[in-house]
Formats: sequence, C-alpha cells, structure tokens
Amino acid sequence: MTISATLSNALSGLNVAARGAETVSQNVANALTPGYGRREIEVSARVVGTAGQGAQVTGIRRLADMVAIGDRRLAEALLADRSLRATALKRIEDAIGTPEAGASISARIADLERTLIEATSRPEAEARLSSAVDAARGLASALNAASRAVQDVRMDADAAIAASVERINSGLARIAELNGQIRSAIGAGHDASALMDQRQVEIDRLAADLPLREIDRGMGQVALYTAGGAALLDGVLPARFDFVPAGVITPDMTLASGALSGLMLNGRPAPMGEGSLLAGGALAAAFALRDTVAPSIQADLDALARDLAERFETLVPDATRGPGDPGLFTDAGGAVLAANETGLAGRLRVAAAVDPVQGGAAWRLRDGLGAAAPGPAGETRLLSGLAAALTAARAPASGSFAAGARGLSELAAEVASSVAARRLSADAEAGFAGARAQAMRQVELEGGVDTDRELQDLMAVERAYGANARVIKAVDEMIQLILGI
Amino acid sequence: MLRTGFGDLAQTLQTRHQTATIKAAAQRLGTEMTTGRPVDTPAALRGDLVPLAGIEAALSRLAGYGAVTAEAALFAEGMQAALERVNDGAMAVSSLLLASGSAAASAMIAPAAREATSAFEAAVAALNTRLGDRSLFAGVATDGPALAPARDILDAIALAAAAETTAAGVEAAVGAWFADPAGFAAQFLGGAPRAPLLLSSEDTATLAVTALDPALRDTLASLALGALIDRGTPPLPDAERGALAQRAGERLLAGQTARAELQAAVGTQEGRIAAAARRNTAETAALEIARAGLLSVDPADTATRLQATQTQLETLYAVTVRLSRLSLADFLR
Repeated sequence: MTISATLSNALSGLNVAARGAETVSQNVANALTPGYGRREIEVSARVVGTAGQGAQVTGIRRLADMVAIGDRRLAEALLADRSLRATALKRIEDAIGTPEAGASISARIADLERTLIEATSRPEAEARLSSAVDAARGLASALNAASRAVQDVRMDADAAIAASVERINSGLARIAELNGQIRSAIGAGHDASALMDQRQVEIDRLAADLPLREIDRGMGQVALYTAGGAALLDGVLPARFDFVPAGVITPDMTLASGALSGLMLNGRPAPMGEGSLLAGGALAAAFALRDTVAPSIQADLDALARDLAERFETLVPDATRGPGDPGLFTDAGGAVLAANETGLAGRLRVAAAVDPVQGGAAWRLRDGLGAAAPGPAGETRLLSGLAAALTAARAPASGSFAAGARGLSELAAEVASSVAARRLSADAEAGFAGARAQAMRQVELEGGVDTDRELQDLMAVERAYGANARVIKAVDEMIQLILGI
Repeated sequence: MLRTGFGDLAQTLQTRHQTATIKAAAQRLGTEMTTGRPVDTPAALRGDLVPLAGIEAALSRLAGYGAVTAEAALFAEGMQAALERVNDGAMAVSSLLLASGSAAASAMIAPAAREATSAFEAAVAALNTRLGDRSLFAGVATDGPALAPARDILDAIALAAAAETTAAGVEAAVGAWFADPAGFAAQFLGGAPRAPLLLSSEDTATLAVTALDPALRDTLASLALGALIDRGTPPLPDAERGALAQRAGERLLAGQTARAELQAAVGTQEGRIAAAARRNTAETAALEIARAGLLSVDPADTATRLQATQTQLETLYAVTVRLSRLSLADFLR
C-alpha cells in the first residue's frame, strides 16, 4: 500500500505543480491587462480519513486592493468633474480673451475708444469714421462670439449628460448581469476570477461619471452606491436614469423654464444642485455647467452688453436721435430693453444707420444717428461724446458685479477676471484630484502582476515538478526491482 | 503592508506620468523663453485681469491721442504760418501806404494801392489755406474754403462804398460793411468755431480761430481801403486818396498788436499740444514698463529652469533604460 500511496502523493504533487505553472502563465500573459487581478493558487494537504495523502489545489484566489481601487475611483470622479469644468471655463475664457490679446473684448473696447479719439482729430476723414465703425462692429462681434462660446459649452454639456446617462444605464445593466454570472459560477464551483476582472473593468468605466462606492455582498456579489448614498445597483435590478437632450440651446432656455431636461432616477426627478446624492463626477459637473456656471457667465456678458448699449443711449447727447431710439449699439436692430436682457450679448449689433455693411453711412457717427444729411465736416462734439461715454464711470444696471461706478473697460476686465479666477481654481482642483488619482492607481498597480516574481514562482514550480517526477522514477525502479525477483 | 511584488504596470505608469509632466514643463518653459510672455496670462496674474486691462486701455487711448497731438501740431503750425503771411503782407503794405500818404509823394499812391490789392488777395488766400483735406480757418466746415474769392469780396466792398466822396466816408462805409452780418459775414463760407480738441484725458487745445476773428477782419478791412484806392471806386480827389492811404497805413500798423496777440494765442495752443504730446509719451513709457512688470518672464530664471528640466528629463530616460533592462527573464538561461 505505501508504494502506491507514494505514487499517488507524487502524482498529486505533479498536479499541483502543473496548476501552479498554469496560474503563473496566466499571470504573465496578463501582465499588461488593465483590470486584471493577480491570481494565486491555494494549496493544502490532502487528507484521506485521518492520514495525509499528498497535496491538493483548493481554489484560485483573485487578489485586488479594493481600498486603493475605491479611492482611485473617487479621485477619478473628482478629476473628471474638475477637468470638465476647467476645460469649459478655459473655452469661454479664450472666447472672452485676455486684455493683451488683440481679439479680446477688452482690446476691442480699447480699439473703439482709440479710433473714436483719432476720429475727433480729423472728423472730415471718411477713413477715420469708417475705422471707428469697424471697431464698433468688432466689439459687437467679440461679444457675440463670447456669448456663442457660452452657449456651445451648455450644448456640449447637454450632449455629455446624454452620453453619460447612456453609459451609466448600459454599464449598470452589464454589471448586474455579470453579478448573476459570477453567482452561478461560484455556485457551480467554478473559477469566477475572469468574470470579476470583467466586472471591475465595467465599474471602472463608470467611475468618471459618478463617484462610486463598491460594497461586497458576499458570494462574489457587489452593490454599487454613489458617494452621496444613491443606490445604483443592490440586488438584481440596476437603477434607471432618464434624460432627454435638448440639441440646440439658446440663452433663454433653462431648467426652470422647462426647455431643458432634468435627470430622472427610477422615474423620479433627481436634483443635481449642490449637495445632490449624485454630486462629484462628470455627470454632476455637466449639469452644473449647463444650469449654473455657464448661465451666470452669460448673465455677466449680457450685463456688459447692456451697459455698453446704455452708455451710448444715455450718455451721448445726440439731438438727431428720438427718445427711446437705440444708440450706437442695438438689440438686433431694436432698442435695448431691460426686459430682454437675457442673451443680449449674442444679439448685439452696431446701429444700421452708421454701418456701411448694413446700408448706413459712417458720417452719422459724427453728425448723429438720425441725421438726414451730412453736417459740418469738422464737427467733433458728438465724436468726443462717444469716446467719453466709454470711459465715463457708470454703475452697471445688472449682473453680479460689486456696487460702484466704473468705465466699460474695467467692467469687461471684471467679467474676464471672474471667468479666469473660476477656471484657475478648477484647474488647481483638477491638479490635486489628478495627483491623487495617479497615486491611487500607482498603489493599485503595485499589487498587480510582477513578472520577476512570477518567474521566481515558476522556478519553484519547476523544482517541485522535477522532484515529484524524480519520486515517481524512484517508485518505478522499486516496482521493477520487485517484479524482477 | 507585506509587499511581495511590484507590479510591472506600476513602473510603466510612473515613468509615463513623470515623462509627461516633465515634457509639459519643458514645453511651457521653452515657449516662455522664446516669447518672453507667460503662456497662461490669467495664471500669471492670479486671475485678476483688471490692472492689465487698465494698462492696455490706457496705452490704446494714448496711441489715439498720439495721432491727435501729431495732427493738431501740424494744423496749428499751418495756422501760424498763414497768420504770419497775413501779418507780413500787412506790415509791408502799411509802410508803403504811410509813405505814399504824406502829401509830397502822391505819385507813390498808385503802386502802394496796387500792393494793397495783392496783399488783400494774399491774405484771403492764406486764410483759405488747406492742409491735406482740411481748411484751417473755416471753423467746423473744414471741407470748403473759409472766404469767398478775393475779387468777389472787393466787388462787394466797392459796391458798399460807391457813393462815398471822402476818405472818412469810405472808411466808415467799409467799416460798416465789415460789421454787417450781410456784409463780410456773408462772404465767410465756414461754420461755427471748432470745439476744443482733447489731447489727453485732461488736456485740451482750442484751434478755434476763423477768418471772422476781429484781428483778421480788421486787417482785411484796412487792406480793402488800399485796394479801393487801386480800383478807383469810388473816385476820390487826390487829397482824399492820400488821406485814405494814410488812414489805411495807420490802421494796418495799429492792427499789428491784435495780429500778434492772435499769433501768440495760436502759439500758446501749439505749446499746449507739444506739452501734451510730451506728457503722453512719458505716460506711455511708464505704462509699458508697468505692463512688462506684470507680464514679462525673467529670461535668466526661465533659462535656468529649462536647463534643470532638461537634466531631469535626461536622468529620467537613463533611469527608464536601466529599469527596463532589469528583468529576471534576461538572466534565466
């Protein structure tokens, strides 16, 4: 009996060594696979009755640092949130421009003032008047472009929400399905590690959209919650998000007006503001951009546009213009009204009367917007008045500005500064979140496959295999010896 | 924590991240080195763009005022030259008329009167001077001449004084014509005086002298007296012609003070324009220095940091190569 027991022990050793080599090869093959959790075989002594009978593989363990992964996912969500804000704000900032850049709103205001001053020197020169009109048109189009950039950011955010919701819905469905497959595999006594790798990859895909918390429910099952506590998946049925993208967005379309869709969670509205259960990821950032950040910048731009238009309406003594008529700048041709302020920056135009492009004549800049015929060629009072209207200290009638009177150029710089300051702080926060995500990913990957270590394991396996084979050879020789008697 | 391995991916990730970070820094420093400006202006200003916008707006405004002062100086100079010509003509004619007016030299009256006519024409031409596309003494109507042609003016004066028979009568009639809104003022084709011109945020210059200025009007009236003698309308006896020539000469001489004052007034404005231009230039220089203080990057500092970044990147490459060579697989034979 003992010789056959020896043979059996050696065979079990060979078996364990073969399983070990298989695991090593699996690990080495997946050394560069994202989401792959390193495998280890669990070996124990085989017991028959009360006596030991060789070794056996009791299972394959999948190793993953769940703490590092969880922290990494939260950092990734924060990173996605802040980078989305920073990118969008940078886009608006670029459209508004910094004062030293020629195409910025500030530079356009300075241009208008300069050309008006130059026109006072030679009011009879058509070229001088035309360049002042060109500068005015340039300023209007700079404001239009900034307003368009703000609305583009809102449209992109709206589209990003739709894509994000789609990703979350399909992702949660797949995770729920994988949960089911893992339960069946474990129930049947199979190795579910590959399914778990796949599930981890699926969960990672959603990490940027929502701050996720993964909770182990035993039997290989996981539940998903947001960091704020909203249940996404616990059990069989995943949560269901609904959202209707708007396509084209204009400044007057808001969540409150009903023109834009909110987010529905399981058929009920999910508030997305500050302190929302879903806050802290790209999804929440897109909502913030669409519904608060971009509209507040639009409001400032509109206030700037209104201040600009009102300066020329109220501060310039132009007798040729009727009361209530628009000044040098119009709301798409009409008078600028406080009630229509929303979106004004996008509709601001130069008065048609002075703009040769719209069939007007530049001399009206000198003689008055309502003048029927050119007046004295050397008249400068109105031109001086126009230039002075730009620098005159005036308190803006609207917008989120500190109280106090200031020139138009300062007001424009304040709008640019407020966007720049918000962008810089989002940039800094994205930097911190990025560093944190990087550190957590580093910790996670350090626990991943190390080929050197796998090769060391392989050498041990090789040695064990050789030794067991040697035992079989010895047993064979012993049996031959007996058979040869 | 018990560490039994160091994942292959961790090392790659770290190297990749470090390479990206250092390369981005090198790129930024390189751009700043070549342009001399920070890549991210708002970041360099800590998000406060108001001071920079103020400086840029002021610089742009000063560029505008630069054009204004340069042109205003040119116009003032043109006016000064025209006034000089009027005065020179008047002084030359004045001495001739005074000499001819004395009883002994009645033969000199005719040439002196001829001189007066041409001086009158020269004065009108001087007041109609155009500099580029701008008429200097026509007030706001800068696109046309200030006065009607000299012949037409003299015709109108002759008509007004046609019935006079004495020197005093002619002088009174001419004086009345020049004071009459339907007289000389009707020959003035210009407009209202020009508004003061802004030379900077505070300074103004007033180049409002028109051909209607009393000093110029009086000079023209005195020259016209001489010109009437030349025309022979109204026909006067010799004694009266002598008296008229004498009177015209005296008036031209007496008018010199008013003309000098007018020239001095324009000269004062020229001084103001020059001073404003100087102040504007100084302010521009100061603002440019302030802007450089806000926006420029220190080349020495940037170069040093670029050097350090380069060294860092080279070290990283060397370490990467070393680490990637360190593999157990290479030693298993």
